[in-house]
Amino acid sequence: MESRILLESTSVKTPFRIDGRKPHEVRSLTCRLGVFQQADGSSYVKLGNTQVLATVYGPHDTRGKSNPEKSIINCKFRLSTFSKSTRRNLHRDIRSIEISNNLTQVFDSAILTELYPHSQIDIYLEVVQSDGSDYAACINAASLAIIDAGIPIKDVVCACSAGFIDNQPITDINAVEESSNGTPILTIGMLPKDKQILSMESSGGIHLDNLNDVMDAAIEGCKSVLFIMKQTILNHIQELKD
Amino acid sequence: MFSGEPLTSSMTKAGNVRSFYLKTKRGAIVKIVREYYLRNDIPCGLECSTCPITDCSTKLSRKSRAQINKLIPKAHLIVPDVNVLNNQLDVIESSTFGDELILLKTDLNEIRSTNLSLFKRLMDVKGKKNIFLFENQFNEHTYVERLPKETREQYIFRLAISAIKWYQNHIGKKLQIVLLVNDSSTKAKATAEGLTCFTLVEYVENLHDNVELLDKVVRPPDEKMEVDQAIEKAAKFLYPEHLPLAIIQKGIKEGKYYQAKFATNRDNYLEGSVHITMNGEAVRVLISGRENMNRAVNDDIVAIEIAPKEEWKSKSDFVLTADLITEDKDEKELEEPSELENKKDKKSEEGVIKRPTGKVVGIIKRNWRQYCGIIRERDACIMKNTIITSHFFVPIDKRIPMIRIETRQYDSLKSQRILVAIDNWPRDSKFPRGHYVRALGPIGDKATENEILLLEHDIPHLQFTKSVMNCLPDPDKWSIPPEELSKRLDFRDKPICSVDPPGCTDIDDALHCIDLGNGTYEVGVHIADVSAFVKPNTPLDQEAANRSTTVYLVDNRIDMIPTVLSSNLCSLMENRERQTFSVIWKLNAKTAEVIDTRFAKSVIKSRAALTYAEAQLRIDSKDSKDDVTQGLRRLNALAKKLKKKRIDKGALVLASLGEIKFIEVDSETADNVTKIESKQLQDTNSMVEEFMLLANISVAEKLYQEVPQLALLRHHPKPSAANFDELVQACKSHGFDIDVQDGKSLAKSLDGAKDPKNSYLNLMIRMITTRCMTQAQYFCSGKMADPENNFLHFGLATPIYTHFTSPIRRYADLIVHRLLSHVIGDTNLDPVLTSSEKIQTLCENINYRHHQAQLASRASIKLHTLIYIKSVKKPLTEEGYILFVRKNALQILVPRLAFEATYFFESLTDWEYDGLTCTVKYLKKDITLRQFDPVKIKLSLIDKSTEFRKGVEVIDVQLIKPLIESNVKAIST
Amino acid sequence: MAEVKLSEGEKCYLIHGINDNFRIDGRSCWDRREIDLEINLLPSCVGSAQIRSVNCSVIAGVKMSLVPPDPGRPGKGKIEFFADISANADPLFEGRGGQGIVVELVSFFEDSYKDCSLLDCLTVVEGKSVWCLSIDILILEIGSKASLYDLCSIAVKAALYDTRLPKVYVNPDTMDIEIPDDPFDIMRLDISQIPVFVTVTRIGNSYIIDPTQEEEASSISSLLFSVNNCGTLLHSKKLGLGSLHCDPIKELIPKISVVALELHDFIEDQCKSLTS
Repeated sequence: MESRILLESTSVKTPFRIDGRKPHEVRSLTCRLGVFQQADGSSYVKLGNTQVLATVYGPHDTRGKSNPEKSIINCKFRLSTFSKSTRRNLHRDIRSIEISNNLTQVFDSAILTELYPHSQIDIYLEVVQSDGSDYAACINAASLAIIDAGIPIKDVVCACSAGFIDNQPITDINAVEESSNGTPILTIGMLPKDKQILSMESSGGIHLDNLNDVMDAAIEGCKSVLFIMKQTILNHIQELKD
Repeated sequence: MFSGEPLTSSMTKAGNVRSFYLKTKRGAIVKIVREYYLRNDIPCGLECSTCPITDCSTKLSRKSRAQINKLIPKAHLIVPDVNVLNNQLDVIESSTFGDELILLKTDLNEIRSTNLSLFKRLMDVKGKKNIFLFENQFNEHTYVERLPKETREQYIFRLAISAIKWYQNHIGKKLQIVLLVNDSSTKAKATAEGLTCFTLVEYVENLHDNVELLDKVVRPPDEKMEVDQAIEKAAKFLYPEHLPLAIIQKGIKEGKYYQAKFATNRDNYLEGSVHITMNGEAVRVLISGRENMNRAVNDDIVAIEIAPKEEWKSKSDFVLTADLITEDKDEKELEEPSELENKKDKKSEEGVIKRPTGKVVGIIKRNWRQYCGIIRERDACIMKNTIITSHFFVPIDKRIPMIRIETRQYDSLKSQRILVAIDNWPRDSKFPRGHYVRALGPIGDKATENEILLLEHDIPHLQFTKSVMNCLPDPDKWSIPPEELSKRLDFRDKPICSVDPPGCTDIDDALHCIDLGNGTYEVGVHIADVSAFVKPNTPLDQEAANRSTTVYLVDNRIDMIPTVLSSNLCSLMENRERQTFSVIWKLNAKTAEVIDTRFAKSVIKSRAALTYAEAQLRIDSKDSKDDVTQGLRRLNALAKKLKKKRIDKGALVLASLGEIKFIEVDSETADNVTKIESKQLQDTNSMVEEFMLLANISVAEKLYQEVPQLALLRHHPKPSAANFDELVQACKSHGFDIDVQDGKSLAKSLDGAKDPKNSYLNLMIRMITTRCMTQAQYFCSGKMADPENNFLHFGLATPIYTHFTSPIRRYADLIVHRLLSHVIGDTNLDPVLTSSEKIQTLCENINYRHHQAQLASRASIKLHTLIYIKSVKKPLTEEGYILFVRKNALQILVPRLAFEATYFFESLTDWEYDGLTCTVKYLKKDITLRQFDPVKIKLSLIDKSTEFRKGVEVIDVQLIKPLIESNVKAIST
Repeated sequence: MAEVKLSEGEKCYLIHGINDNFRIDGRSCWDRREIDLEINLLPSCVGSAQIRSVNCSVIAGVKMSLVPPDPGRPGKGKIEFFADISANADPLFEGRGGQGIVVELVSFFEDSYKDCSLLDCLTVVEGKSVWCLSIDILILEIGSKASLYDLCSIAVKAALYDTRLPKVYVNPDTMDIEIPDDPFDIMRLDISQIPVFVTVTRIGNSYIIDPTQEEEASSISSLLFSVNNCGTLLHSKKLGLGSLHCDPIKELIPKISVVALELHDFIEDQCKSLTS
């Protein structure tokens, strides 16, 4: 007889997520430094199907007002027109402006800006493919580009997202999981050595009882991401030496 | 450009990408990209040295299925393919088929995307058996990419083959992996790949214990049929072809066809109807005749086409039951009296309102379930001489056609109630084909009949599971925890009492009333705080959510929550401290105006648990001057004022027959004798009711004000004027005008419709009114547009309403408690309740269960009436009233038994029907019978087993006053 | 695209070299720098390509949609172009900084593709429904403006080569469009007719292709040609300031078709080797 109940109990409990990962696993991550010639620093980050290009220009003269105490950070985030399945228009995207502002704050706190008074540092992020966790990928990419530019930064800023589906926390949300109805997403950007959280952005409503677990999942994700990032940096330096 | 490094070693390949094209609902075409990871740590489910330890509970054994099958005596594991799962779930489900099974995730996904209800059933089966789900889609060894030109079916099959090959290789030679398929062509393909493969039929035939299983096998449609034979057969098609889905969808878009749920007429199985919206108005479309119904079964989602206006007809005034079916000589063909239709009385049709008619052009979704019923008995002589395996199954539900089944167990099943599922309904077969699922018990056995009642109404009635019971506290040791006491308002010293029907053990409400002076009263309604015990997302909560309501049957109660809670820890018993959720008003003593409303979690100690009669006695006796009694008097006075206000606003008083109670008395003789006792209505009934209504309204207002997106409310939409056609016509013939414009005028005109000679006339009119209206429904406020109109509770004449007062027996009330508790800042909201979608999903289940529970209660009364008549052992002579006049029958209300009897005319030619005046004339005696006329009838039991429907006891109705002679003799006396 | 400022002496040195067919990076006048082409890198696009040549980098992505055709051209599909210079290329392009270059680039593409034979195979139901390909050109890094055109045309042609459209079936009863379940049931485009752009830059008395930034800074003006694989000129335009004498241009024409055909061959070879 047809049962109309749609509670969790009827969904298939499997240890695997929709793309074959276990709850705590981060998608495959590829990082590259110095992908552009003209910029002062640049990087490429591929997190699963999400691809981000980052460039850093500066420190250079400001174009407008300058700050005698420190360098001005200018972050611009953009989703390319072809980044998702349907073509999107670029203009007036409030969400992009919000992410830009968030990124500015993150790197204003992480970069030793007081070393470069009266100057400006531009960080540009271009998401060429978006498959979830764009914001986290951008933080990682920007962090690498800054390191590539040789700008002093407190630590390798790393970020990862986490969510809560079927009563369990999951790390590194992909686009399918993001779009499934009501999935809460929490993105944490942190300075790993000091365990300082630079950014904590959530959407979709996480019950306070579950927040701790979700945060732990994100922080664990940050650690996995950091491992790859560090390796990339070391390899890059090695290549430069050779 | 860049290749990725996997972060975890068990994800062996990084970021594979699968892409496909998709047409969106809006018609745009998009490319969808999905990333997936293959891994090497997927467990095989067996004790195994190479695989990682499984974290799921299912473990397969290496000695599985040894010595049970002739085909393969050694230990083996079986993997059903997707077609077997799709068609043969009844076989897989049954216990004799064996416990251990491997299921492939790719097959499961396929079923999930094509047939959600089957998927849910499969998951149920998985819960009961030792079924291991193999995640072959993520295993690097078993996953294969789709090839060019490969169909979806071929691909799924190739995935299965790849998985089985790996399995066999992985576990070694001692244990065989067997693929089960549905047809021999697939078997040939699998064998060619070097697999051990059998068709399910073969496998079952060679099982040692297979008698029951063989009946459950769905035989694939005749494979051998050649093309030319098919053409030859085409001539014999009885039904028009169903249109393909694409054409249906286009037709629906263009307004040519309509999508609707098909409902077969309960009284006439050759007629059905659908409700559609045509030109912005809700219309009921009649679909009559086998060909127009075109194999639609009750509850199917169908596409219909409206017939041209000339062909519209009045509602069929026939009542058809299977009893009228005569048997054709040809064993295979059954004929129903289709001529009845043609003999339609032309005269009476004029002036009667014509209803739109239509025909089914296609089936959008089948909603077949399993049906209870019996096997049609065959001539004993025939059975002796030849082995016949093809039988007809007669469902209990009159709306379901007979089903042709294959069984070898005829002899043992003929006296049993059995469960049968429909497999298919080909065009050349008059009746659908199905298969036997299981036997329920002997016909006529009370326990069997009760189970059938529950099964037929889809009521979860199994005992609470262990995990549910583990959520409960020990009732002997339990007392209110101190931290709860400190948090809650203390009402233990207030004169609180409860008023309920006698014998009530689940007391969920209690009241008190105190005079505050200044002409104001404090009134408190205290509702059992079930949410203190039923915490969100526990097994207990999930079970309660699924059950959604307590079901009351005549001799049984199917609890929503275990008895420990419903009749003890939550029940507001006398002199016990209990946790409650209270609504406290300050009311004007004179006008009953609400001055102030408060909500609080509280503790109470009820001073008295009264019955309605006891409460009435206390109110009436002049001597009692105690707190409780005085409170009751105040409450009673206030309730009368509240009621008057409500009635003035247009609330309807909708009667159903006074409830009756069957009391079993152990008599001297061996048999139990059942007595009927009717419940009496007291003033105090309506006193309690008024305050419950007030509490519900107060809570609804508060919820909607505080959480406008999440409030769980209950509405009763205003019915359209057309729905009242039958009522208006019936009343008109008696000279009453019924104004159905709004609730107030309706209530007023109902009050006016009285006949001093016929005390039941008003009651009957009200009963018909109830039937004209739609049912009240739960909904989530965030999911309903236009609150002004859509939140209305028409029957109660209140703009907003919910249920708060019975959390012990209704899940909706429990949700409302949780929401309100959040609103008053007492507890955090359960995450599930933070989304209006999820609340709406809950509402839909609650509505469904609620409706089913009502139907089950009615069916239970009917069953017990039958048992009662049986126990009296002689025909009953009862006073009755004609509720409806039909072309071939009278529906007669018997107030004493709260029973509706149907009197069929023996010969249609003796009766002349007039639909306009709702009368029927018996030509032989020149007696005219009018709707609402009093009659006297004789009720007796007829055992219909002598006819082709075996074991059906039917209540036979004969008219005594006026006397209509009958040829049929009652047998049971 | 940092501004390059050259002194007169530097310019003189550079121009003299070119007159003798020696360029400062060692090339001769009609040599191109190495081109790195990649296709199928954006999974969410139906076709994509990235091209890099030293300090120039362009990504082209193709999206599809079904639209009604223009009333005057019922049997022809549509191709629309969008271009954008990422701020990655230079802080100058932040916001709408690159609009000037972008508008010129897009209109040159549109004019060149106006009567392309490709449009004919994009019809689904004549007069009712055609494919519209939206091609986005994302410029990530710019060397010289002149070579940007050439590289963009290569990126677009390669992206179209990479494009896979689902084969759609029109249900004759309902006229509804259906997509086959088989993900391999796809349509590829014939790109042979698609034009490439060749920019020739006048420096001193000679014409060169693929100028560096320094060369562009010392140039007089450039000419831009759009040429298909048969050597037919589809569209042309003069870029930048300055004036050019007619006679040398006439001598230039045969040379251009040779260069264009070389480019066509290059793309085809590259794409084929990338897919196999």
